Amino acid sequence: MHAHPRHMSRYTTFTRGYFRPKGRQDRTVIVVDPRRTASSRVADYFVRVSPHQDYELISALRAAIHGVEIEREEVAGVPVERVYELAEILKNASFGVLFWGMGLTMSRGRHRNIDNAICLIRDLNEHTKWVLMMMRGHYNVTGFNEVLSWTTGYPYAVDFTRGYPRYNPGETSTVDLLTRGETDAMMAIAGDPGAHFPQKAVERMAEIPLICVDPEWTPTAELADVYVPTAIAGIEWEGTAYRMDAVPIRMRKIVDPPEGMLNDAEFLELVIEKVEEM
Amino acid sequence: MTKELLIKNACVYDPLNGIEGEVMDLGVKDGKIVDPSEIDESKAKVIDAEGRLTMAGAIDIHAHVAGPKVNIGRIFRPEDSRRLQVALKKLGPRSGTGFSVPSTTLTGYMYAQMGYTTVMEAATPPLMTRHTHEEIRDTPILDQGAYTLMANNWILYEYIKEGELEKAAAFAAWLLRATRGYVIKMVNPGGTEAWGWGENVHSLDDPVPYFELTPAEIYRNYAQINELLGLPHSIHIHPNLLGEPGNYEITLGSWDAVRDAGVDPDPQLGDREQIVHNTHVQFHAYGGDSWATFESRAEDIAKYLNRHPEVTVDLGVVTLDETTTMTADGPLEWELHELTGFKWANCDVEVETGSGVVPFIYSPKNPVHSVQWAIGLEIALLTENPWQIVISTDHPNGGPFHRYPRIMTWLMSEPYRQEWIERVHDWVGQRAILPTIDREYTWTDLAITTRAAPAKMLGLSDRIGHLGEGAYAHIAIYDIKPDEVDPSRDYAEVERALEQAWLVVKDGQIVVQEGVVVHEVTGRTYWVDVKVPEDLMEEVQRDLETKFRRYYSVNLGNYQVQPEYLPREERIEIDARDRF
Repeated sequence: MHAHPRHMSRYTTFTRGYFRPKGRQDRTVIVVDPRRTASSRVADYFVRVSPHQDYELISALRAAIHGVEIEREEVAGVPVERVYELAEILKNASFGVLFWGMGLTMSRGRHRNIDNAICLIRDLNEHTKWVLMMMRGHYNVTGFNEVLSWTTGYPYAVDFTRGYPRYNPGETSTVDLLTRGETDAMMAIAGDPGAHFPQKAVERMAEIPLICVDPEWTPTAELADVYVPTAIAGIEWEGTAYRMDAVPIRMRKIVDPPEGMLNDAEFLELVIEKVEEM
Repeated sequence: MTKELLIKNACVYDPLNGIEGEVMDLGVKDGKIVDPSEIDESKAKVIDAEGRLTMAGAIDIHAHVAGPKVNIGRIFRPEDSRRLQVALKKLGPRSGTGFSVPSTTLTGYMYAQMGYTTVMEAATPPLMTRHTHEEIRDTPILDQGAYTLMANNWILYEYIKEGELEKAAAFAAWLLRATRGYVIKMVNPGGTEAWGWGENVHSLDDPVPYFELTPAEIYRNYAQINELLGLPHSIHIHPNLLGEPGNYEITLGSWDAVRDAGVDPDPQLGDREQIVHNTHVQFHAYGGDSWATFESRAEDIAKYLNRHPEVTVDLGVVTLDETTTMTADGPLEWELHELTGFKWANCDVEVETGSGVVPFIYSPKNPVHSVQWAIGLEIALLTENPWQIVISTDHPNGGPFHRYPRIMTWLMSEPYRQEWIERVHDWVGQRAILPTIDREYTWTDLAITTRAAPAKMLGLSDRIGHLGEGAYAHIAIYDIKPDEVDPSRDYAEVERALEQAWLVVKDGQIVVQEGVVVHEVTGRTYWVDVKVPEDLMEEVQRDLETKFRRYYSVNLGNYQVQPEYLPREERIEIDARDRF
């Protein structure tokens, strides 16, 4: 509700649909979180999972769906009866969607939690229709992954040093390169690594020449040697943004950018021109 | 920029102009083929082909090369990208990756390398078509067009259910314009919609949940819509129950259902003879009632084709590789996942379609895969008229497109097929009849099934698929001399030559030399703009305003693809106003 303010009203919960004419009343919402949130208050069921025990809860749900007896009184802080009750609700949905947010990847288990969640969805599809979707932030991060994938074959962490695209997260991601001290210069475009990267990576950013290209003054801009403001895509400039379900949306220009302000593409073209001169 | 080009001593195979292996000169001026006498030799670039095999640029009528599910394939299969990595300046100026789902640049390069200049994207979900066009824009060299998925669309279903065929047709025209699409594409009619509920349809009379239309009714109505609009291509169908043992019956039944529509081919552009094109027919030609009794029914399929010139097909040959399957047939991909246990991606699209992606390993040791391999070739060889056939793998479903030269060579050489029959599973001798077929494709058959026939089926034979005056100068020259080789015996040489064209000209520009991309041009995007009666379209527009508000998560005004997404559009204008 807070991270994605339009999500429940526009897409999933309150909105009316062809087969859900009464909107909210025709839907069942379950929120799983270690604490009460604004979202949990509008849910039909709130499941308080113990911190860092998402993996256990997903495994228990899978066991319950398969009809396996769970020989415990509670799993991940949730009573076993509740787990069975939830499993029945999931199995009896006519179309279910599991939305998951960053909490699942940033807590203990990390990508293994998602692995398990994918298996849960797989299992549920033996009973009814279920899909899984990640709740992504950062505006057009989906679009970035899409474009990089069709141009290089990989969604992120692409290394071009060998003359062809290479991908090996753990070795070739921005954080990996920064923490190993391998990069000797950095350009950050429309992202704020200064606010979000691990401390060691940010320390390296502070040591090397850093260029920040961003419409907004950010912690990264604060660290940068050169800051280039650009027009805001979707307000001051047109373009395409991919929704988190990968639907591409045409972003229109509403107002003119301040005089002389370039957009990201124009700025990069000028840089390439200069690089080619050198 | 080369303005004029004179190619001397080309050994030309050009079935649309009745030329069979004549050594002649070809003139190219301003991107088009002209009479060689119009070329000023002192100004033109002159190339001596020395009797090499020369054909028009090849056409792929059905390949999954751009768009949302193709990219899902790339994203969730980094191992496939790792399998083929092409560095800068190796195959062309830029780098790329991907064996079965190549990146856009590599797709353009590898097709051009084989002499292909037109590749039609087989399926685009309307809501996400901006994505498809963004990938097409980033694919160098190739002319493309996107086939708009329509067979599971609620709005079309509603109009048909209400008996409003004309409104349905007007909406189909609107959808083609909104998506800048080229074809009414039908994938598992009813089945993908049923997959919204985790279900499928299992026969031509099995109604779609809620909408209560049957696949047979859907075929009949869509065929009528297609001919009412006078589209250059026919309906392009992927029937129900793809890949299931015994499915040849529903395939033939689907063709009957289209014939029941009582329509004749009536395009406003071109002179196609078909009212239905069945894509990747190999996947729809299975006998038996389980994997244990699985067998080829290629003979039944070919027999039908031989009786009915109004049906055309592309092959969907299985090349016995590791590949990535991807289709708008959502329930099928779930079944494939259950069958193989390999990872599965699913992508439902609100209101109109869905898709799935699953990796697949076709093995020559596997009995079923071996028979699948045989079936694709059998249909090509048992169908008498090559004008009903196009070579394809349903890339990447039956295998990657860069295996086309191998398929061509299998068709041209009986000894080459025998060599493979010995390598694959014994079932090919028991459940298929490939070992008993001795027909071999001629160079003319090859030129028909890769150039002339797809051009004619698409309604574009006035401009592509041949080398007559006025045609776009898309030319492929291979390093092989038809009068010096016997493809039956020298198959290794033929396959090698077809893999790497000696010279490829696209729009009058030399783009490939000795198998390497030397120059990139921007490809066209073909799309059909159909005018329907204004008052009818106004009514449909009014309906759409309500329907979009009720069904869609985007506004009507944000749905249509803006012209900016097509850097070089080729709009095919059809005036269907008097046809209603």
